[in-house]
Amino acid sequence: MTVALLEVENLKTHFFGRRGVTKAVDGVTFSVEKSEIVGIVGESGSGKSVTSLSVLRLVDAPGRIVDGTIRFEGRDLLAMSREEMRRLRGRRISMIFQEPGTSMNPVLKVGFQIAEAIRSHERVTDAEARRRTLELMDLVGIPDAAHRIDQYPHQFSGGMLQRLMIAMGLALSPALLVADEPVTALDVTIQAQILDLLRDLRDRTEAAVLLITHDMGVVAETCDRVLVMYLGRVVEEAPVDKLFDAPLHPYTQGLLGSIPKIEEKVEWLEAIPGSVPSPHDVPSGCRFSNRCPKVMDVCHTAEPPLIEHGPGHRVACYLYTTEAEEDRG
Amino acid sequence: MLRNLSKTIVGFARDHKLAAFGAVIVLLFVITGIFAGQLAPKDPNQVSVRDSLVPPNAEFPLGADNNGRDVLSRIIFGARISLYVSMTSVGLAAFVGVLLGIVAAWYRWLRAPIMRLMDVLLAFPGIVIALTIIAILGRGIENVILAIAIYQIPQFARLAHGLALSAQEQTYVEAAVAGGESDVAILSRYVFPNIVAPIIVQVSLLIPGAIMTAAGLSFIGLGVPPPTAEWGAMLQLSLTWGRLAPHMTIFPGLALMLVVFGFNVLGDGLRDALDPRLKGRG
Repeated sequence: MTVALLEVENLKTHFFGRRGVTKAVDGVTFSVEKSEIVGIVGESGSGKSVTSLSVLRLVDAPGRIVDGTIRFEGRDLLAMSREEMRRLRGRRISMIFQEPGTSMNPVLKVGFQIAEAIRSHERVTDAEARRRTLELMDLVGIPDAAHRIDQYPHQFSGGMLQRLMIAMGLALSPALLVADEPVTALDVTIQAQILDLLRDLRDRTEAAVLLITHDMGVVAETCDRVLVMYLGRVVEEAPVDKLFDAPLHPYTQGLLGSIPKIEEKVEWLEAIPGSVPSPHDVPSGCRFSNRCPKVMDVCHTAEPPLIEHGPGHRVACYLYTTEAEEDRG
Repeated sequence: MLRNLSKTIVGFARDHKLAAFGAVIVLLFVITGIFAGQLAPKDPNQVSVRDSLVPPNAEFPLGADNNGRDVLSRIIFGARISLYVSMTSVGLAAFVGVLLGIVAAWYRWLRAPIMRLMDVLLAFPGIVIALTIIAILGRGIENVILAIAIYQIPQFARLAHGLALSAQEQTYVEAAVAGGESDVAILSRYVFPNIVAPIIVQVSLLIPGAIMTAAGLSFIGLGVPPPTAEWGAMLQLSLTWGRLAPHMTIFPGLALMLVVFGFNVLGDGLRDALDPRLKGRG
């Protein structure tokens, strides 16, 4: 088996607040292959954003990565010094954020900022940096780049700014682009354009993408493989078509059941009962047990492990383990 | 670019008439200070016993002091000293204070040491700190500059610290970190440019304080040593001779008052113009 581009194992990122420890990410394992688009979906508070920040080691105090390993291109990121990590960011792994409107420095020209991304890692002449900036702006589909390179962020629309952020992220042809809710702040037609752009750029630059989102529609449109997170753990992992055709975990089934479908006429959409518990007050056993429609006795005893169930399809639920069969008699 | 600038200035003058008036006074003060040598009709240190204490006349437009030195020329050269002392001291204080404030905001472990030291400095009245420093280092224009700078540093540090704390939480700073920018690049290109407007206002509001303190130190004999023409020293001299020659009190006092007034109203106007939240008020 070849080594994956990014391998995260048993990652635990906890926040040490005044009211106790918040286990935002609590034992997450996944991998991203070269030029693969992997989605992480989950509700607010599921730990998906903290997972993505942990990969770049951008978690700030009071948060801390307390356990686990993150291997990227075969190197252990958690063992790197601050300076080694800084040199990796932007060059091999880069990140784009949710709010394109606030992700650029309002007092600097956009061209300068993209050139700066190149200059912070490579020694290039001003002319060379400008030429590459123009190329990048063309690559992400900004019309009239030669003119717009000298404009300020407030002169761009949200969609255009997100294109610029992607250009900045791709400036040094990184192997992995982490995109934290890249289209959430954009309206639907622009969302589709940006997602198309991400897929298209993946095909051309072979950069893998780790896409964080709460939107199943975005996942269906963009990703190759999906991780579903709930309260800091991965509950299901599957290739994208498998996940939509045959979701295994009751939580995934609930999420998909709550999306309206254009071909079916239904009076009521199914909703998952209750709401996400506070991370200070996680149910014992399976974290989903207090909201699960198929809850069994065994679910309250211990956390179900993430077990392979079909090729590339893993699920953390007792419905699919032998213990469950014994439990049912 | 130049047209935009002139447009901005015209707009500022229209919206803030008092501030524009202040700006004119400040401009006159700066020009006077720079071209003192060309503008002054006489040598400010030219002693003439014959003209001792003469009231304003054709030869001495603002009269002469007890040594027969031309008051107008001494006021003009005094402007140069005030300009030099206030600009360098506030400039130095702004540089050091802003640097400390931004650094203390960015490096969490430096926050308490730097900012608590600033709080300690802030607890002393400015003139006490200035007196202490002069007492240690002795008289002289450089020591006056240093004394004023040191007591103004915490004011810049506190302002910059507060502004930097909120500026560094912006997504574009996080994006810069995620892009692997160095700390120096982040602080100088992402944090500092976004907090510079209130700092400019602070500079314009602290310059009159620096002028007053410099004059005050000279007034009590701890500032610029005589015979250098300095407004505070001129006023001190007039304590003895003022009753015989009121022009020795009135004109240096008027110069001091006008310049301080000019900077104050300019600073207020700049604050209104640069802070959108205050627009349309007052």
